[in-house]
Amino acid sequence: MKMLFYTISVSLLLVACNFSKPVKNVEPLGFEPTISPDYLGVTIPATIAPLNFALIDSFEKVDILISGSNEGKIHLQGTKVPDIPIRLWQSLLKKNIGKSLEISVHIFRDQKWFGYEPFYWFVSPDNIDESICYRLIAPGYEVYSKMGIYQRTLSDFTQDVIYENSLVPGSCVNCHSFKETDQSYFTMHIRGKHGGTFVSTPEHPLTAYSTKTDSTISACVYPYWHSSGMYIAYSNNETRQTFHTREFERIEVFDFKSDITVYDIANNKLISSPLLRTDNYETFPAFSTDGKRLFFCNAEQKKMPKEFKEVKYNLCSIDFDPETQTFGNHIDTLLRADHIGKSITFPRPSYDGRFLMFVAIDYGQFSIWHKEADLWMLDLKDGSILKLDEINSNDTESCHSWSSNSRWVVFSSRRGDGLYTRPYIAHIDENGKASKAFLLPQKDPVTFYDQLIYSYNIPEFCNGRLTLDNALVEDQLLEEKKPEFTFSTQK
Amino acid sequence: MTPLIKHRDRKIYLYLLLAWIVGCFVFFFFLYPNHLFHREQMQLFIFTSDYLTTYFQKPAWLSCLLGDFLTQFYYFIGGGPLIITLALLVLAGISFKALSPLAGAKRAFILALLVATLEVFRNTGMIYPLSSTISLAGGFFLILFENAFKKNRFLYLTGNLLFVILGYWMFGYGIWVFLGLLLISEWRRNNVWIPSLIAIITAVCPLFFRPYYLVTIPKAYTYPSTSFWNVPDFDREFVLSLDNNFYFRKYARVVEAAQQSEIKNPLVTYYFNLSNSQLYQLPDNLLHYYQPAAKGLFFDLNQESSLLAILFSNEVWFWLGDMTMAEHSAMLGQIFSYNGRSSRLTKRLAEINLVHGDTLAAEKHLKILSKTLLYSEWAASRFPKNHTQAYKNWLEQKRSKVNALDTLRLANDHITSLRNLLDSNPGNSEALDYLLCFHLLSKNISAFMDDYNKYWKPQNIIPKKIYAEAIMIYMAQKRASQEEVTSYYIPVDVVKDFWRFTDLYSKEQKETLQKEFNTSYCFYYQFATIIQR
Repeated sequence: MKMLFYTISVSLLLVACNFSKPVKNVEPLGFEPTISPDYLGVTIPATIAPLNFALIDSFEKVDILISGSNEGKIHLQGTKVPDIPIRLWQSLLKKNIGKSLEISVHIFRDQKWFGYEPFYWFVSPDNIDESICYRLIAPGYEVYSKMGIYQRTLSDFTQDVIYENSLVPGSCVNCHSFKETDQSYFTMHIRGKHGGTFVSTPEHPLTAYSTKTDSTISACVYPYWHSSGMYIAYSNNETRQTFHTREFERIEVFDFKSDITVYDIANNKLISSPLLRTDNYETFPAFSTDGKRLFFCNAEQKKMPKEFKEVKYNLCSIDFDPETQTFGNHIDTLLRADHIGKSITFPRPSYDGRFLMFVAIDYGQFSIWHKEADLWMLDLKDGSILKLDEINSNDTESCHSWSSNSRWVVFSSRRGDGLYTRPYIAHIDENGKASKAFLLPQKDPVTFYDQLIYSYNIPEFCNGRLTLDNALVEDQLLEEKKPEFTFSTQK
Repeated sequence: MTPLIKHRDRKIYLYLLLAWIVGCFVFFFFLYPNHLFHREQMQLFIFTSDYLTTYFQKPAWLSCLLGDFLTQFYYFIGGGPLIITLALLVLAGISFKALSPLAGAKRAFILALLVATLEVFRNTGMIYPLSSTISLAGGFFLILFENAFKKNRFLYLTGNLLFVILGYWMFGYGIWVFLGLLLISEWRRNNVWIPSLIAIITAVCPLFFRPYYLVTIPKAYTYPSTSFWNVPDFDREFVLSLDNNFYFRKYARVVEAAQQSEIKNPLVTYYFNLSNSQLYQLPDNLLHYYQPAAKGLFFDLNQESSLLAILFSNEVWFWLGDMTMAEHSAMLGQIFSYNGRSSRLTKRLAEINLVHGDTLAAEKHLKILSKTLLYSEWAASRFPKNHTQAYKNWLEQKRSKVNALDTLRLANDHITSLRNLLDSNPGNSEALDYLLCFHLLSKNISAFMDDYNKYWKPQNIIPKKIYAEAIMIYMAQKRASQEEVTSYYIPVDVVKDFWRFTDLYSKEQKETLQKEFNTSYCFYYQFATIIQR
């Protein structure tokens, strides 16, 4: 027993000595380290989880010093890049809000210490919402398997299940949406035999509806909340899923028909205008922050699928009066597709009303499998447009959403492995300048994302805990007869 | 301590046990090995903390973890039969020990063998997991400790309730075994109230944990079992044997086995056709086996598709060279395999992306495989930096077949897919045979002629026999000129046979036709009927 005690003690001592090898006689390498995920020079919120990373280089030992330009330090050493202790990290971030952190990395190799050029993380004074919600889905096609909606706390690594389709087999969890990150206004669409669209507000208990009416071409999809919480804009799309014969884009989804409707929650009624139900394709509605305009994408009808590459969506808007529930009598084209030589999809205005971010692709509207899909921004104040090179990559960027203070965006990008979308967060300053995006931190990000077989779909900021009564969801889904939306159109 | 079974009886029981062990092993080794191999191929056990913690997201983490860990060794010849036999032996041993106090040693022995035999049957199901057997063993195991709580009522109640919760957490539906034995044991001692209370609490336990585990009510009560009763399905075993032989590229064996079998099953036809295609003899052998129209060439995937059709569907596209369709099908198979990860399909997805030249995507799959016990070596050799010259050559050969043109097609539009392959690479003889045979089996002679004239005729070579027969039918239907017929280089034998067939057909001599022409296309064209099921 004594022997065992001594052995353990000596081993621990040796390990301890081994871990605290002093960094001296350093040979400078003259360049920054290559790390994974690429967190070099990113701007982060003060309440983000530790940015653990791996070093893409061989070494026997690594020494990392994270120093706040204001105050505080975290010193780590190990035979692999150690995890950053969460409490020390949070304290360091707090002490350096509005300042930067310098990360010095040294590696021990061939009996010698080598030093990389330090890199920096900028701690933004702008707050970020508490969490993000997203759908995790395997890239399925005609048939689908496990999927669900999850909520991830941004300050640590906790992920909670909001809804999983294992509760009602054969159901496909689709679009979810909050009112400007307020999770108390929630909608979620579920497809399949027991499908339905859930709507919930503080005044309106969670209810599953059948949203297809005799007057609309399909069930309601692509929801967007009105700032009053009284309306949800939807599009109704008759879609077709097809497949490319070459490998680059894989899947193409296009519309044969699409219209836009607005759901009046209090009166359980879809309202629309003939201008939003033309022979053209109208899709991706989004209300302006003041609630007086409805942005959407509009394209001329083409022979599908023959002319699929000729479908290009313009960015349009129409006035909307929430008091009288009436639409304007004309459509404004805010940005023509041919102006930027791209098709414009997924418009999302910032909640401060200043900008509108959208996805630009070569053709069509299904950006998620378009490698060339990039994020662009329209300045609603002066009409200028800008491609956000700081946050784009040579793979897909799509499905973005704004934080409640409009200083952060979260979006899906396929840049990691070309197959599965992952959530990236980027800072946008008050002038619309974007900082380099960073991948959602994980405890062991390299292994986590390497092994992940689900895509992060439609990540959206959420400023509180979303809890769904799963028993109620299940009961309502299994109801044979769900309450139906009614429909009326403006003359 | 008295022995459980008297010495003189021991030998008999020992022989009985030995006979059972041998019988169990022999059954799975000789009669049912392909089911076990298939089960291994449809799962992937990964050694990462993130993956291992997923076991806590559902009930029965211990039995699932153990079961999945052991299932990976089904890969080896004899591995599956050995592991199942040992697992069932452990189940028999524990259940014997648990049942002895209740039923006496002799009866317990028989009951234990019955339990194990029941599990033999259940293990013949295609997706029945080993974890289900381990869960049962877990339930029997827990009851062995029941005596420890008999000091007082409070301890008895709390101890057993703790066991129920722990049991459900670790062994899922194994708690029903525990509860059943507990009730029998206590009711025999006229202890009614406390066991009944435990039973009530146990009954609501799955409902209580269901919001956390997010499973349906039936699943909550039966996890991780997938069925209560299975019987051996030797037709399916045969299908899986073809799948496994094809996987190991024993094409001639697949063709021979299919022809010798009397099973009429599109899945068999699928592998028969695919193996013939790999041996460049698809049109030669096409009608030498059951052909359910063109349903044995490709599977139309939709919500009603069978699991095996989904899992197998990528093979044909991969070997014909349509990598986007192969990837699409493999992805579908992947999401329907156990826990959404299949060793075979992950390997296939890596290969597809290597052929594409999409290194990033290929490495995604290779990195997953590199965290496994059995496939890490395979994965290492597939990382581009480690490719051998032979593998590079194989990739080049595969790349020569892929689509060069981009267009859109529906998932089940096989004709467009095949035409695209041929437009990109007219030398893709496997795709050409599949296209022409697709038309022939669909009895679409005009489409056959269009594609024959476009892709085959320019080669100026003699048509395969069934193609020549189809051309003769077409020529006869349109009363073509002698000159036009001659331009197709129809062999004289085929012409003679065609006129003889026509003569016999006009005389309604069906028996002679059946005898002489049952593998000819003329016979198929005239007599095969398509029945919609």
